Amino acid sequence: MTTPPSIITLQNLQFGYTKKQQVLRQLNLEVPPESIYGFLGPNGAGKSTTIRTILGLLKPQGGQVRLFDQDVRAHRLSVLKRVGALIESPSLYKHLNGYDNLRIACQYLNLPKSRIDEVLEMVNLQHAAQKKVKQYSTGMKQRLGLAIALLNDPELLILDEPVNGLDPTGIIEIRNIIKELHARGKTIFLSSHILSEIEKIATRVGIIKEGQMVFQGTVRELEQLKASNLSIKMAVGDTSKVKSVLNGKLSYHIEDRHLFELSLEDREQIPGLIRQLVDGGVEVYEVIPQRNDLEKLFIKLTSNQTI
Amino acid sequence: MNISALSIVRSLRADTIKLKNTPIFWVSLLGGLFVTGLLFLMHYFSVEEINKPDTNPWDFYCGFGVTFVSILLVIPFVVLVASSVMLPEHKSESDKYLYSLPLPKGRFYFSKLVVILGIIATTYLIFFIAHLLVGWILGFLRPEYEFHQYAPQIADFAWMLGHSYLSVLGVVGLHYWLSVRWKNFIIPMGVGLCGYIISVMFSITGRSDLAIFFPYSYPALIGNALGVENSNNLIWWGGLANVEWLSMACFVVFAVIGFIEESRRNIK
Repeated sequence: MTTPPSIITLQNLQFGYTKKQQVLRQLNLEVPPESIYGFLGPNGAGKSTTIRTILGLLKPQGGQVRLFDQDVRAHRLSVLKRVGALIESPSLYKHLNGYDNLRIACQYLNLPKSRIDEVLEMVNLQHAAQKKVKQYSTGMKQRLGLAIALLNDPELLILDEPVNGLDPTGIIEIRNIIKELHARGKTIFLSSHILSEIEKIATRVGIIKEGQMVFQGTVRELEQLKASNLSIKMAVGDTSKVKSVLNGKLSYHIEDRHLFELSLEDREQIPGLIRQLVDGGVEVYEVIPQRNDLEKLFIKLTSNQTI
Repeated sequence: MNISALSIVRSLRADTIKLKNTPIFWVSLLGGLFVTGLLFLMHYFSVEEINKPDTNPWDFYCGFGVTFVSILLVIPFVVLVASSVMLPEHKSESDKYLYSLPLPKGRFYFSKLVVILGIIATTYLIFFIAHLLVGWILGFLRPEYEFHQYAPQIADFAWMLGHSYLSVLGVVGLHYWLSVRWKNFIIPMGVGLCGYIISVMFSITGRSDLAIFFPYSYPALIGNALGVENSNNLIWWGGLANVEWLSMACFVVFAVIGFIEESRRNIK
């Protein structure tokens, strides 16, 4: 059985706004069909630049962008027909109502007006269709942007920070819409700087740091990476004795006279460690597992800390 | 109609929808009516040339209208329209959306340019109709002008306005390029204001030798050549004056430069 081709493939992608300032550096990325790909990275890591390059808005200085197994630059029009995109804050004509904004997109895309009602229903915005966009809340604008992106019933939906600036209700609404679209077989490429958001809906995750991919895989693989990096704190009688007992075998950090923190490769090491400390005359009162959640892992991956 | 032509029509429709609830419609309508209103007042109160015996008053009236519009009003109006039409696009930062649609980039660029040309042509048409209507009304209010004893040379009047329209195309092309390039309202308006002032200076000082190199002066040169002064210091070729050819050349050059720049630009 052959593997279906990736929906998005980036190979050694390079881009810089100036020659000195390279934003994307040999970036590689694969988005499989019918996945929700969470594209994570701190602000300024190159997420929006990557998305603009995927959509052909920026011309890469090296590497290749392939959508649906076709080169974007060579087949721009045919591949973009299968894509819907919402890039950062949606481009809306605020002096017009929601319906007219959709009508403009329908004209460009040669779609029937009946499609407008369908997408309005999908984003639950029928009630505000005749309202001017300048009167919309941020969440409503975001949903209208999403409706515009959905007009041509795209196979691939690219959403750049779709929950940015939304209140919790707005975030939940957008999240539910994305889940529903995924259930309908759409491939969704979703960028965010909020890991918890991606964690809730993504099937695959890519983490970008300074224009380079530092992790790419399933959410489960990311969790495994998290599990392989255990951190504990120990409450002991006197931390001054710890150094002579551990004798450089493990790296640790003494916080005060009674508390120190150390990293382990797995939890099986804990009983031996306690035994070793007790035998060395260190009284162990408490072992406190540290929350090494994805958030912490994400910070480590995207900062200069070692895991 | 073939697919490509239909697609252009759809882009034009989309651009027309964008003008809803903007002042552009009123600028176009009132632009034509405002000039007509001014000319009505001027003729009603103090134009003696119109009252020459045994001459068709419409000839002077229409020629004066063309000169007045071409010298004083068409440049500020064109600058305002060319800069304003792009305003909704700048405000909505629509380029990232438009250029990610499965359409050739030129479709958006040239569609907008056609809309600008259409708005200016509409204003000319409004002025054409309103000016003739006001002349007819003046015939009642000022019977001594004898407007009702003569018929207006409608074809000549339309042709003069056509010359004026062609002479302004260079400024249309330049200002469309400016507003696309700088993505704001202020720079094109500032450049337009400077261009207008310089063109008025050339007009006042009679420096047509310099004005021939300055697109903002072309409507004034045409206005003088066709209107009341009927001066004939322009070179005519193929039924059009040299400044009209130069104006069209400017239009093409700036439209093409703008398009090349826009299609090569990275959308940040």
